[in-house]
Amino acid sequence: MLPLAPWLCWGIPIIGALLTPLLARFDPKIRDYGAVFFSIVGFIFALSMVPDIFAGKVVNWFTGKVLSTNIPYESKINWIPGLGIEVGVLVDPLSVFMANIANGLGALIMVYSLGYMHGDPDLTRYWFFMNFFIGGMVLLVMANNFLQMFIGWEIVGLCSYALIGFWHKKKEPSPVPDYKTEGEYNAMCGMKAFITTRVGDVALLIAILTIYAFTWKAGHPTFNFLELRSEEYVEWARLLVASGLLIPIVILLFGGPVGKSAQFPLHVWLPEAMAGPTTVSALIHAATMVKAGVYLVARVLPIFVEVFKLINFTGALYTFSLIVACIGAFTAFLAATMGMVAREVKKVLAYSTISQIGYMMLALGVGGLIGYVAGEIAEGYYAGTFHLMSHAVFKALLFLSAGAVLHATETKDMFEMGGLKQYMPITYKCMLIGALSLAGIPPFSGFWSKETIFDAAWILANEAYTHGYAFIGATGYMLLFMAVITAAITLFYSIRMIAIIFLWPESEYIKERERKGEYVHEAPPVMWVPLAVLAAISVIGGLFAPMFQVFMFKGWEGIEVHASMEIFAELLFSPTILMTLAALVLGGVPAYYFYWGRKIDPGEFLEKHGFFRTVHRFFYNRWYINDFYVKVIVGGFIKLSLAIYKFFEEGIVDRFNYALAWVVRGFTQAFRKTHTGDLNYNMIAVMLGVIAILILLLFG
Amino acid sequence: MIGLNWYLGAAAILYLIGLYCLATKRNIIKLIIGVEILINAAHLNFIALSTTTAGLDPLARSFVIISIGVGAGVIALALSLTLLIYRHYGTLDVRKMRRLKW
Amino acid sequence: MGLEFIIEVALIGFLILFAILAVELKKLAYAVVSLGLMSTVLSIIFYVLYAPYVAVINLLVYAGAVIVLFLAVLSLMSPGEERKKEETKYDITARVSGGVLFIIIAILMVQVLIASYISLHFIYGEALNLPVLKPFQNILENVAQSVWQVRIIDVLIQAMALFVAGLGVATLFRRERGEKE
Repeated sequence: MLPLAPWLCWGIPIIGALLTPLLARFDPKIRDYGAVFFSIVGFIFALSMVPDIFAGKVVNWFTGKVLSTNIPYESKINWIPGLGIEVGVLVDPLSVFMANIANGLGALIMVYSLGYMHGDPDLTRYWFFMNFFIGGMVLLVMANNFLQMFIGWEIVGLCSYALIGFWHKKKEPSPVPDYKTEGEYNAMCGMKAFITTRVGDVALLIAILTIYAFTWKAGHPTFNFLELRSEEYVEWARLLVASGLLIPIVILLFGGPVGKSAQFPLHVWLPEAMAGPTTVSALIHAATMVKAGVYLVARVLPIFVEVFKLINFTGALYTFSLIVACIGAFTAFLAATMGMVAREVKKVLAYSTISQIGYMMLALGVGGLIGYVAGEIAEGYYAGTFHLMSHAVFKALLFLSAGAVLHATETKDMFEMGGLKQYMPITYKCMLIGALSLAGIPPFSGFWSKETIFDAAWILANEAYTHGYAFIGATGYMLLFMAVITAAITLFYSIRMIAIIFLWPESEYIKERERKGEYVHEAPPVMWVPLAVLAAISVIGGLFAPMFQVFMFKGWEGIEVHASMEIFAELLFSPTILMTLAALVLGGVPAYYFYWGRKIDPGEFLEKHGFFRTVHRFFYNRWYINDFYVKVIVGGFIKLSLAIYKFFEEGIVDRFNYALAWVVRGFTQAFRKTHTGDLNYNMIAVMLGVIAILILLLFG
Repeated sequence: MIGLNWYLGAAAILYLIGLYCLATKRNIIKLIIGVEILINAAHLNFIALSTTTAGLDPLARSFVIISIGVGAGVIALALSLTLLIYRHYGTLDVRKMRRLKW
Repeated sequence: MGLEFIIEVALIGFLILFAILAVELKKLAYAVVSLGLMSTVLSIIFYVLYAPYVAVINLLVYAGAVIVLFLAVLSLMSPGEERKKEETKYDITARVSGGVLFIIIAILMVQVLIASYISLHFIYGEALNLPVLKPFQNILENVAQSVWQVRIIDVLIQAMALFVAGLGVATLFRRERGEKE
């Protein structure tokens, strides 16, 4: 790898962010190209770490010095040795993989935003936060200890807030009646995202600090990932189990990913986060930040496996994985149903993101459960991370194409578009590839990654029954069932989205614009080249599965992986393929009837069947979860604050202040009568003082 | 040599006379005279107490010498202030100078 | 008991008397003169208490410089009385006290001069055999020593100031009588 690559792949974007206001003073073009340049350089550094992982040893390319002969490789500075606080980076397949995704997609999206955000007056702020975000995300994934990772976690949260509310100065009327202008609405969306993820962040922080406290009690305070799962420092786990705080800590630790990755019940912020620019949605809310939760779960899973195996308490692994898997599966289903009925294209993609991340959590949870019953988490772990990579690519592709469409038609509502296939052929083809990959149609990468997840769930069910865990086996089948149903729904809404935007006849809105002379045009090259790149990766990505497997398991003890084509055969000829095909049919046929072929009009269908209308309304109002939060939690909190204000602040504190002032005033009114201004009276006072001193001296 | 108590008594009476003057008189010059009587009482006290049959205490005598000098300076300053006050107010009556009244 | 006792008690009595007079006299000039007399008596008491240096300095400062200051300030301000409505009723007292003050100052000046003369002899080691001075030998020696050990020039200046003070007091009283007439 290039020298200091693990440090520079997050250092350079941050430096670039700090330099952007400086560059902006010279020339806007210098600022734009400079910002993109920094992110590309960061990507080069991240890429340089990949060959080292494959080779199994870390070599400095400039000096040829071998830094380490095994993975994982840690480079750290001990900041406060007594407290176990350090600053460091961990070179490890998971972190290098995530760093490449963050840096790579970041660089691509920065190039894209050269075209998308062209002419915006606040571009300096935009470049600053985008680069800062990329740096923060890579810091998060490259961190070698919990504390540093939490710092990266907070940085991405901050940048997400800033970038969602990026257009807070807009003066157009707001889409919801609660706010006056669209700018205010955007700012509210940013705050909602920040506050909702905050709930998760607080839970995560409590869990991190509690684990730290237990390591302190065990004698060796540390935040370090490797140390937490090593054999010599395992005492903290024993103490944790003995104190009975294990289950709460597990739940709290998972609270962070629930918030950041928009799982149930903290998923309400992601649809509102679409108020930001599309590039922001692509980078933050599809490809990177929401993956941070998945990364954390993947990071923590080996800790639960190894440490608790050492102290013979694998119940921790069981609890954790069960929670992760169930929440993931439920969220996937929940979000997919909401995506089925959404009107705006970006909201569809947002729900789809929540759903797909649910898949990843499901895969990791399943992996943990397989580890519990059979001792090896490799299957689910691999499934989760592979789906992470392919989802990052095709979701970014979908968002960027949606951005191109939005840029061309200047509307967010899907039903106001239509017939764009003839105007934007390249965008159409790219978005189609993305949608098919999302839905899991062979031979795109999405198909292979979803298959792997189903396969993992199937293996879980089988292994559980073989080893005698009936409950887990039943859970495995349940999870598989939910995943398959969600796949059907996914296909349905992907086809729906493509069809409404591109294949339906032109809407009134488009016709109106054409009459005014604003034609729908294809995106400029600076925008469709990244689309093409991502589409290409999405097509051939599946072929990289064997190499990916080798990559991910480098450095794991006890796993020997060889790259081979066996993997494809395994997937294609397993029982789960039948389920996938059934799901595709189940989802595809209604989609064809309603949207692609337009045999039945969806509006008329809803009017005819009352049952479907009710279901439609239920899904459209987001299962009423959002309204519940607003009325009960937010409303209740505001009422409580008002009550406290009235009682405490006005009643007690203000009254006390007035009383104090009145007392002092009365006292001074009385006391000032002694200032007669007459010198003789002062002398009498002196004499009284002397008498007092004499009395003190005589009798004291 | 009469006993120490006579001198201490004399000092005490002088002190009281000084205080009485300060507390009662209206004229500034009288007030300064009262201050001077107080100072003299203190000096008498020091010297009386430093004359013992065992020997003479030179430290107390030195204090008194210095105090005499300082006392003279204080009175000089007070008198110059009196002059200015007289020029400003036209009177030496302390009870007419009440600008520090509440 | 004996002469010493009477002298010391008398001195204390005069001290208190002059102090009360200084407080109570209505005419400011008289009060100041009474203060000067009190300081002189105090110096004598100091001398009796075996503190010659303190006595001399007290005399020089209080009975000299401070009184002069007082009188100078009083002469710059026209009301020489405590209250305007009073009239000067104490002419005889003025003359007597003025005269007494003058005599005391004269004695002191003479003493200072004699002391300087004698101390010169002491410095140069010659004995002085003046039969008239025999009973005052000790006092003179003590005073000479304390005065000479301070600074002779200051002493001479003080002597001149005292002389001027005496003249000034006399002038003051003369002017008052002049105004009345």
